[in-house]
Amino acid sequence: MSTMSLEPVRGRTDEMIVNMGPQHPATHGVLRVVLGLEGERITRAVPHIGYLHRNHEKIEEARSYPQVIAYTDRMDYVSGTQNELPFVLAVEDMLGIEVPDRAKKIRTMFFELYRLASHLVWMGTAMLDLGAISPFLYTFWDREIILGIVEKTAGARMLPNYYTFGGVRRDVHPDFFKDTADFLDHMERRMVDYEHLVLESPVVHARTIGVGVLSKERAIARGVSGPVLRASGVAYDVRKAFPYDAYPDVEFEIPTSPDGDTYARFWVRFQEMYQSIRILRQLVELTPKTGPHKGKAPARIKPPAGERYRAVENSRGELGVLVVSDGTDKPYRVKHRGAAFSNLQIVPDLFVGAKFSDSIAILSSLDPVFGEIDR
Amino acid sequence: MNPIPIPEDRHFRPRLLGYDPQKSRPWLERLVYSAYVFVFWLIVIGTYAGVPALFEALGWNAGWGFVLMRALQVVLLFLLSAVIALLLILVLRKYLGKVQERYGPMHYGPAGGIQTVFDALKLLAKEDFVPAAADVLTFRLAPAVTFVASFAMFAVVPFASGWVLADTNVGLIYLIAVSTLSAYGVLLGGVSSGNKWALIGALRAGAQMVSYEIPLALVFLTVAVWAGSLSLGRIVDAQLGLWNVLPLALSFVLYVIASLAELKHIPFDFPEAESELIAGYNVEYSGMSFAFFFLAEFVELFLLPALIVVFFFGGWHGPLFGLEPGSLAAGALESLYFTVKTAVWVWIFLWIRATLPRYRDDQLMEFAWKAMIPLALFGLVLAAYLRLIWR
Amino acid sequence: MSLTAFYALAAFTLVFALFAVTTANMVRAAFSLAVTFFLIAGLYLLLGSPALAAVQFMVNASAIPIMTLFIIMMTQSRRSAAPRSWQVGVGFLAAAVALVFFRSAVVHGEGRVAPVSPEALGTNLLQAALLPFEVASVLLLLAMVGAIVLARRRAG
Repeated sequence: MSTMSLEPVRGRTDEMIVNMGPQHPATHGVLRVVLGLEGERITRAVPHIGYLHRNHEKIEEARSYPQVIAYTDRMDYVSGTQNELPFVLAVEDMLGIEVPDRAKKIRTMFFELYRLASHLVWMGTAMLDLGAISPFLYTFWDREIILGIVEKTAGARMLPNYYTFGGVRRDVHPDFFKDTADFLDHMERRMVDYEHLVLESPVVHARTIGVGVLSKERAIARGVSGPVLRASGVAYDVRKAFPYDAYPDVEFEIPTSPDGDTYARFWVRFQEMYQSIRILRQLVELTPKTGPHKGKAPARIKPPAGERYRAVENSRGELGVLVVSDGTDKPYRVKHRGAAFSNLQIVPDLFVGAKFSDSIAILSSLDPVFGEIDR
Repeated sequence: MNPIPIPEDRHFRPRLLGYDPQKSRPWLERLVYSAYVFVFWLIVIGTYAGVPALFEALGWNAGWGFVLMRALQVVLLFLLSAVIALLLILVLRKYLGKVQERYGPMHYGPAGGIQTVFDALKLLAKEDFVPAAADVLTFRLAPAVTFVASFAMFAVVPFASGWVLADTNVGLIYLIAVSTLSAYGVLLGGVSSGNKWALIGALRAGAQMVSYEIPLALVFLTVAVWAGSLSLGRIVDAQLGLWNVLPLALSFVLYVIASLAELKHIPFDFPEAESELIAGYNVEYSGMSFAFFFLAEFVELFLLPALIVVFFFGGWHGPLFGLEPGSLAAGALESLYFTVKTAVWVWIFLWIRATLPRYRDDQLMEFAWKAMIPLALFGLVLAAYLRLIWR
Repeated sequence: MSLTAFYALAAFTLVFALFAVTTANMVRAAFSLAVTFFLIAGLYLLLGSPALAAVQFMVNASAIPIMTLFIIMMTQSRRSAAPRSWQVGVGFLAAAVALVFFRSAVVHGEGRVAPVSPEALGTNLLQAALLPFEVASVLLLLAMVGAIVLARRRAG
């Protein structure tokens, strides 16, 4: 497979080699895909990444453990605290820190709120790619509400740096549970509208059904995870397979779809939003309103030498962190397993044979966020 | 529901005497739109009633005087299309804002009313350069062809009884010719840009427009068969008792869809889509040349709904409240009815623009050739049959 | 006044027609041809046949130039070769022959032309000239089918 660019193939006179991105309204970030096009049909596709590489992993080797949490936020920037959790869990495991039940539930609530926020971004941008300009603004308004709720408690909206070893940094705002309950009521009304605009739209059906079919075997072979995997029929969710935080205490389902096409991926994300709302409703009831928000953790975080891998179910898939400690207060190595990074591997598979406008629909259904891919 | 309330001082700082442009004033917006519509109405009255009356009074009726009169009317219609563009671009942005839970332009003019003037100034101020590989003559000519084609549709549109520039008995054929001409301008623009991508974009846009011309022309023919004439004035007259939308319902639906495709409007705006790789036919255009393509699109955004009203909704028909038909007052009232009906249809088009995603290129071509043309033919035969048995 | 109009139209027709055959740029040539036909439609209007003028405009000055542009774009031919001297000679000869024919037709008809109304056109097409009309539509159908077959064969 060619690496840096596509060379013209002898005898293939009709093929145009065309560059898509990295500045492009529809590549969801800085993705560059070099395409071989025969008319409308894509014959070859080579994605190039790294335009947002910010050296996270190397930088984190020179930061103390609490400081690393602030860096992890910046990876998948639409998902906020979801990025902090695998690192925090790994270090808690290495140090044997107990997390009180209330702190677990609060963490899970924020986790699911950010899942909703991330899927809202996905929905708005996916519809924008398909040409509908209005849902983008509706979803971002709902996201504003979520970010407002987070801001009241954590002080920042997108990148709150809120989790810490043993729980969360500060207790939730007194309005938090009421705000969340109000938001869930609002969201349930909005989901009806979103279903009409997105899932039931005949134009969306025409653009996404049967487009970019990913078979189960290929999905597993490429290491795909998250909604993309579940849309190809594999019922694997880290929250059920390796439960963490408060997930064992709540009831929820994993939506899967046997089709594997772009519409299936749209549908699965929608159902995940419904499941998030369900989880949040249960947690609003279950979370004790008073109690510790943080467990006992040493003042100086110095895990014993060794390594630990923990994974969580990000909005995009399995986000994992391997923490290698050498006994000092700075990690020796922090390796992030980006969900979107592994998901991006199917781009050449799905693009080849598709029409060019289908490639935009496929890319939006994969929901890449380049902070996580390039780190 | 509201997120955390925004503290007052986070607003844009109001400019003078405590006037905060960011505050929503619906009454002011409605006033601004009414002002624009009023100016529009005045220009229509001036063009179709004022100028002929003036020339009649001066006695310059025949020969060169007639030519001068028509020329003056065309100049006034050009002014009208400028007002239409000003209003429609503003309404589009404000309406999209309403649908999308935001304000739209707010700063220039009362409630953003003069925004389009500044848009036009911006386009004027941009460097209108011609790419090195482009064929300069044709490059400059293409936007003019498109604009003139859209503008030329004004010649046959009847704003009120007798208020039409050219009351020919072949108005429909002229309309078909002129819509095809606007597709020609698009193609010329793409070909002369000297850019491979503009060429492909122009081919696509041209193919789309030409494919949807066929059901459009077939619906024109259906209306002509139903009304028994190719003249738009007579088609409107024939709708005195019954608006065409009822007996010709199928053709009406097809006409709306074909108009959307002619306008390259969502859901058929594939040639203009920014998120597709291959840039459109107007990628090399900037400044005033681009403004002409833009202006042509907005003039057509007014004219195609106007044609829907003419063909299916009784044109300028409406209760006259005892006014004498043919008088100035009756003409003014009828033109107001026409304007209001057209405004309703423009609003419906904008509503469609705000809501729907876009179809893929091959899907829209397939739809034209495999669905619309057979249905349009069926509608034509149906109309002919109905006319035979009803009249 | 209609005399002025005629002279203006005729002069511009000649200018554009000349430009169409002498320019090497195909796109400009196609455009000038379209303008020539548009001006001829104007001449039809002067002769009192708005129906014919509208049809001429619709077919020759709108639809055919689009087809020509498509052909130019698809075949990517932009410049035509300069005509050789014998070709120019044949052109002039053809023009002279045509002039003789048309002059005799004009003299024969004593310079008068019957205006054509759309009703007359329609009735004529569907009654007196029915066979040529049907044959023409069958011919168009054949051309369309042939084009599709040719395009399909090329694609695969």
